[in-house]
Amino acid sequence: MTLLGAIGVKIVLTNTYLRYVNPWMKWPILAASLVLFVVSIRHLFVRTEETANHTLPIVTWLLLLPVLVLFVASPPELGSYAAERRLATNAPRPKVQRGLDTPSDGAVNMTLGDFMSLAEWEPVRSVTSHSVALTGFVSKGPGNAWYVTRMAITCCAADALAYRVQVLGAPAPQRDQWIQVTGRYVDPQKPTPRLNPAIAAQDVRFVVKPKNTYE
Amino acid sequence: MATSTPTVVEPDQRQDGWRFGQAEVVLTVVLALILGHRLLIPLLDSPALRTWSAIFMAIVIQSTPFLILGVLLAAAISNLLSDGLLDRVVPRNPALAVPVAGVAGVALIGCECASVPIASSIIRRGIAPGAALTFLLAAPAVNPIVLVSTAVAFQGKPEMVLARFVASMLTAVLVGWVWVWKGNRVPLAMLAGSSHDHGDRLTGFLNSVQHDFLQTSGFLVVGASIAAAVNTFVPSSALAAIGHNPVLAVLALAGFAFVVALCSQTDAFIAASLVSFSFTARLVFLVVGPAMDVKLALLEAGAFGRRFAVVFVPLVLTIAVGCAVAVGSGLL
Repeated sequence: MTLLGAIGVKIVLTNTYLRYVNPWMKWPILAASLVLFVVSIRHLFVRTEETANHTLPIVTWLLLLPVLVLFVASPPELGSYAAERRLATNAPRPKVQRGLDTPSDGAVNMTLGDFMSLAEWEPVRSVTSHSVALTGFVSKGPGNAWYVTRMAITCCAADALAYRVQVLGAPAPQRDQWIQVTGRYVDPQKPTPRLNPAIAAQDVRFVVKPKNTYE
Repeated sequence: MATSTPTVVEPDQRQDGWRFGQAEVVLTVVLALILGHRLLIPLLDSPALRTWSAIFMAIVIQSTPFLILGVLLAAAISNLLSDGLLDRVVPRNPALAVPVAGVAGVALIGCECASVPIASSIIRRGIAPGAALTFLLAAPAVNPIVLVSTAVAFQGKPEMVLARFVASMLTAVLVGWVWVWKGNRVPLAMLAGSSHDHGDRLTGFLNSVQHDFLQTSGFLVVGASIAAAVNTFVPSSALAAIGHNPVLAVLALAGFAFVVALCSQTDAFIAASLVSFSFTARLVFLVVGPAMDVKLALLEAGAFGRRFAVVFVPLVLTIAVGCAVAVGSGLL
């Protein structure tokens, strides 16, 4: 328990927790870790009848497993392996109903989720008249197709789904490389599985992985 | 590494001299893993295993705070509330007591493991067994913590919370009534109950917290690793195939809920991750899980005897699946 509390504090302090859960989980994790600390440290000093006579179920030892997994493997955030297997089958519900503003000079920075929902739902098709910049990692598909990809989580990495936009007109970088693609929306390639928006790349730049890799 | 481990087996060591017990086996494995760390890294480096461990960590990290919250509240209730309260609230007529016990389950927050000793203690205090069983089924399934974590897990699908509440409550009340109608007896094999009532309140409180957490958290780790494995290794086409067949999907998730034995505070997160299943099938998972699983079946066989469990377990499973399907097809 002490250990579990300790890794709870550790993953919050080092921002590791962002690999697995939503940012707002920070305080619940910290509070839970403190409770674990208090209860387990007291247990080391105070011997009570209950704790002395109690045999624990064997599975309780498995509590060490997350500690070991974190220290030995230090699992990274979900990348192309998961993305290529867990595609979102529906575009996210649009947050921006009105579409994009009038075209400006520079490219519009937007999330993959917003891009996909605009491509899918917006009637005015304002997305087609803009140059947009999308940030994500590289994942691959059938043939030579490759995608700029972002995992979206609602709660934790266990429910992650991949949002991806096919990149056309640029050679594919390595899997899992973080990139920023600037370009224009083009209609889906044939054959068209549902939800396969694409972008004609004017520029592909390597970027540093963001602090929170999920959308 | 193992600061918290030796205390558990120390009493044995004092009596019998040094033995190669659980703690030593685990310590050896841990040491071997740490020493073999470098050799293992290439093995662990496969993308599939990395994905598994990321999902596994995600489930553990996401659910532990909720588990702790549940354990804290359960400890507060079993130690800081007056014992006579339930007696005064629950009516004498068993058929009426059943729904009251269901509603009481909403207020009394506890993990299912905590509610087994509570149920057996209220039976001893003279409350109709049918009502106590309703409480046993309702308390872990419909309390506010569970409903809140369900709402968090199913953001954008608030009907899920309502459906879970209705289906679980229906299950609990129906099982209670069946029990009243069938003769209303529950053997009490284990009358000891939990020993929370000695010492001062704070000690009792902290003991319950520790006891409940240690009893349940291991099962959470098992559940998380199984769920992560299902998420990572079972090809999505197979899941989709099961998920597309409504009957198979319901049966598969009912079986899954029974086997993985998740705590009710956390199961919503795992249900939310099973994206290739219909909402109704996932509702079955959420209704069956807190009502009956392999861990609860064992606990109940211990508390009420094996013959009770042989009747009770299938009864609850059938009613829970039936209620969840009925409510799910109506609401979701």
